[in-house]
Amino acid sequence: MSEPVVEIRHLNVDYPTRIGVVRAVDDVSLTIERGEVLGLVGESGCGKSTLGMALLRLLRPPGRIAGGQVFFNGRNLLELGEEEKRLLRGERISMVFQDPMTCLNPLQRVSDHLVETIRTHRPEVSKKEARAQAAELIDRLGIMTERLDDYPHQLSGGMRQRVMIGLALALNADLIIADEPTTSLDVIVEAQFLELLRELQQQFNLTILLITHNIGVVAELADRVAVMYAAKLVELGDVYPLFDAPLHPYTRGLLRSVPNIRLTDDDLEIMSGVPPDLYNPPPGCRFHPRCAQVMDRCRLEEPPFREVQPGRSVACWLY
Amino acid sequence: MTKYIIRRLISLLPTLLGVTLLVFMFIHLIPGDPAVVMLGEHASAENVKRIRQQLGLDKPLLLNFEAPAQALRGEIGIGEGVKGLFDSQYLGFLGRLLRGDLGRSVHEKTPIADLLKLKFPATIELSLLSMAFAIAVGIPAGIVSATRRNSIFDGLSMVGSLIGVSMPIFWLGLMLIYFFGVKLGWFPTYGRLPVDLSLERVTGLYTVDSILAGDVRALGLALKHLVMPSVALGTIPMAIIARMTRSAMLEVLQEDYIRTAYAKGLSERTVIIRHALKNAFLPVITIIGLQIGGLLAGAIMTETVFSWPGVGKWVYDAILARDYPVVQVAVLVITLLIALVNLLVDISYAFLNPKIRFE
Amino acid sequence: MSDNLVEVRGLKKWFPVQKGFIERLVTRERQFVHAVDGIDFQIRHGEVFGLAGESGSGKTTTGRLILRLVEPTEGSIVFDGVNLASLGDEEMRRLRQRMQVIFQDPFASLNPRMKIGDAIGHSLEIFKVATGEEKRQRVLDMMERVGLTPARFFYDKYPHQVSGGQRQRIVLARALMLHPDLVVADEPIAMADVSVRALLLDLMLQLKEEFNLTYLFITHDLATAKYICDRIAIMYLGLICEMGTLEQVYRHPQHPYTQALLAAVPVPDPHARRVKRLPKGEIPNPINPPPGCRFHPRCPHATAICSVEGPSLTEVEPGHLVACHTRFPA
Ligand SMILES: Nc1ncnc2c1ncn2[C@@H]1O[C@H](COP(=O)(O)OP(=O)(O)OP(=O)(O)O)[C@@H](O)[C@H]1O
Ligand SMILES: Nc1ncnc2c1ncn2[C@@H]1O[C@H](COP(=O)(O)OP(=O)(O)OP(=O)(O)O)[C@@H](O)[C@H]1O
Ligand SMILES: [Mg+2]
Ligand SMILES: [Mg+2]
Repeated sequence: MSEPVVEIRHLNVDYPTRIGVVRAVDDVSLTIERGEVLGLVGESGCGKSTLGMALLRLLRPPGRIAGGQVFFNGRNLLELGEEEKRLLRGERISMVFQDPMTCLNPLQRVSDHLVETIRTHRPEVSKKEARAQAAELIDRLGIMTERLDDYPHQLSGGMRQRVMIGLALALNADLIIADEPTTSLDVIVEAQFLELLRELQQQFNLTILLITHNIGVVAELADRVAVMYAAKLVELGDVYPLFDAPLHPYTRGLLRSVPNIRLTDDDLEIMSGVPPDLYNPPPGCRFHPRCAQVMDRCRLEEPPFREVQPGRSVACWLY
Repeated sequence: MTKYIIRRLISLLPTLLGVTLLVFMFIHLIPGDPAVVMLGEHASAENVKRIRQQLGLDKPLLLNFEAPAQALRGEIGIGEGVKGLFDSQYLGFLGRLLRGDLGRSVHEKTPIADLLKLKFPATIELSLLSMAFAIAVGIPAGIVSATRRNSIFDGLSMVGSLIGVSMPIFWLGLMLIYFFGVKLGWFPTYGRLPVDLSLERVTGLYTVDSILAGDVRALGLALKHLVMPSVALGTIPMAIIARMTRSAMLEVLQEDYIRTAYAKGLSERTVIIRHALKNAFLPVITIIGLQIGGLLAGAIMTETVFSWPGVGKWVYDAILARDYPVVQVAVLVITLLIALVNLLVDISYAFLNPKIRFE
Repeated sequence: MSDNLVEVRGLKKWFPVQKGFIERLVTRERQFVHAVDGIDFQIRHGEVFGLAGESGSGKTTTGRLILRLVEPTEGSIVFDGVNLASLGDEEMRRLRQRMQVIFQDPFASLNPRMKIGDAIGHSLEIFKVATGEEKRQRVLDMMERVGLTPARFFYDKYPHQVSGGQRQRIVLARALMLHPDLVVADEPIAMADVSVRALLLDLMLQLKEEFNLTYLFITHDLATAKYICDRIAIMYLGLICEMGTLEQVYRHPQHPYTQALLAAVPVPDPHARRVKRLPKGEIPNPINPPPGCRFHPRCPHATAICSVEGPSLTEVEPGHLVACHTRFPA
């Protein structure tokens, strides 16, 4: 097997604030293999975006990496200088953000966005050539080439999100981090977009870190799934076994509490309680106050995240 | 776009008409009779009457109802009565204006048009230079403050700009004159050029004229004279522009597309110049437009303090001398200028903002 | 008394388009957003009536029209036999006690400087139902019922001191204080944490039984709607394109748009990955909706007539109404 694109080891990310330090990513280890779609799910505020931004070394202040290592194609990202980081961004790692409405500079045309990305990393490409590449790109993304000189506000939400993907494809990035790429889209447009993403992924063997709180989107697209709860990774595994037989009680609760339009008996599993406050997380296992299978040990000791079956890891004392 | 500009220009007409009317009413509310001012306190009533007649001050202000009344009484013909109705000070002024006759200055006894040609370039030169000063200092200061937020520079420039905003022009002007003019003697304290220097008048902008004449010494002197008035006049807009640029930049730097720009792998410099600044410029440009309006008002103060022979000082002197025709024309010119500048700002705004341009 | 708590007839709401200063000068004609463009439906006593559709289809506007928070451009709303248009301000104010609303964002609808208990009991004071100790007791009772326990503990807290799920419970409690007949719930769970949504839905159903409520449940999520609604109407660009019982609409959808919408809902099950045909394009601009059937530019079954004449809602089986030319020629 080839080397993973990303290997994260014991990564910690902190946000120091006036009322205390929030550890938004706590001792997370995980790998992303070449050509796979890794779905990262979890509830709002559990640290998904923070993890994604840490990979790009683009944390919003005051966020900082407080420990651990991140290897990208074998190089430790945390040891890179400013210029090296900059060159990595956009060229090797590309990002698709949640709200395509606000993520594109309103004063730049579609062509400007694409040409700028191409020429920043390939200064030898002429403007004309870059423009031709941009036209080819948006054509492949299902946007008519006449719209190349449109401004973002002239495009619909779905088209804008395609342009964002275009930025990622322009330089054949090794890794695409898609943070809630469909959250602001309508269902039909979301489905169209997911379909396009899947096609492109298969065609170009893209590696995608798909961050979302939408279980349906993950089920639709991911090869493997990582579940986060309160800054911690609680479960990781291939998508089919994970959905068929979730191990962690939180994963199970999460999957069963989402209404499924295809099922007739709509008995949702109701999880009690609310996600914890990251300023003072509960001791022991962070899920224990809400867990139906809680044991004494869970209240005191933090369960380690370890492989319990081949390719399947979980952080729970039950296993 | 052309359609829009034409529309705006047409809509200017009622504004200007309103302004002339307002100014007309206001100056007649100011106590003091021009004839008396001209002739002195002890002039004979007869002389005053004669002068009033000469100046047309004996006519009613807006409409002459005496004429139709006379016509009704059969004292004069109907046609004459109707015509006489419009024989008033205001309508007479408008009529002459339409014929391109700006009238004569009561005080200086010269055609106002000639005076205007003399004064107008002085004010334009001063305003342009102070605006250039305001923009050249204000925008970079705002950018650096925003990108180095909470740094010492930011703190100093924001305190400085707060002082700048609240500083009265005349006081700043006097301080400049005292320190840099009187104490240090670096800059001349009044006028546009030394009296003994002669320069061929082409545009009336002395800096331009001296370049046209190839006279380096005159250029240097003209600039030296401009420094202090420009600083005095430009300080308030400079401070406002700096604060506005800073807050617009801070807002833009929070935007998601700035994060996208970084994610593209652009350098910080490129992000700030190409992405942040361009977007922040939209609100700033509106502010600049508004400041130009304020600038012309401030010019009256500045020109008076520095004895700058421009439209501002002219208006000031004319008000003191109750030189009604001059006040009217000068205010009209200033209004027209402000309106045109605002139109220019709106057009450039539309030009920079694709949302307006294409919808 | 009729079966229907709410009857909506020919309801329209057009919003004038706010134009920039410049555009107003350049263009003459006034434009309108056809937010709601002529809809009819009834909500029966004691049911959960769903209103679903994509963003901008007019769901929220319909809800606000029923509450008379905005005035209709045309059409009538009859609430429990009373035509709302005939009411004066004071009568309307009294009727408002019987209809309550829950918005999507509980944070935005709570005054940050008001204690939770006071916020919940505020309406009691406004309508002079109860004050002082009696008000407090009633509020505490209601807090227990919506699961804000221990109620005494939460009574004196402020909105920012509790979690999102709890905030939504506060909003629920506040809505129920005056024992309304109708609750308009506009995307009530969209902002809640994923793991808390099921709980809130369940709570809403419980409270409905307990207080004999009728819900107008507005959502863009068909999977959620399926869980809670009895009947549902699908809206597209200000019009209802299909309406019926849950069974009718979900099992036997007839309108091509409903079918597309149902097919597009992501399914939380990797075994159900879809192989499907999605309609092209996106929801058009409501300022100039397409002529004829509004869905025809995206419709796989569109024929000549669809671009000319708008189909009307036709009953295709008892209680199941569809507006489509090709499937149900008039
Ligand atoms: N700039 C910041 N300053 C302080 N705390 C922050 C900052 N950004 C994020 N956090 C905290 O870090 C935690 C993780 O945030 P993050 O945005 O990574 O969550 P997320 O899982 O992406 O959530 P969502 O689904 O809402 O996007 C949150 O609890 C948040 O309070
Ligand atoms: N006050 C208003 N002024 C002008 N237009 C409005 C107003 N309120 C709503 N609209 C427009 O009316 C249309 C319908 O809006 P509405 O909020 O009812 O949709 P919705 O179905 O609730 O959408 P969403 O799912 O996004 O909440 C939209 O195009 C919207 O922009
Ligand atoms: Mg996030
Ligand atoms: Mg809505």
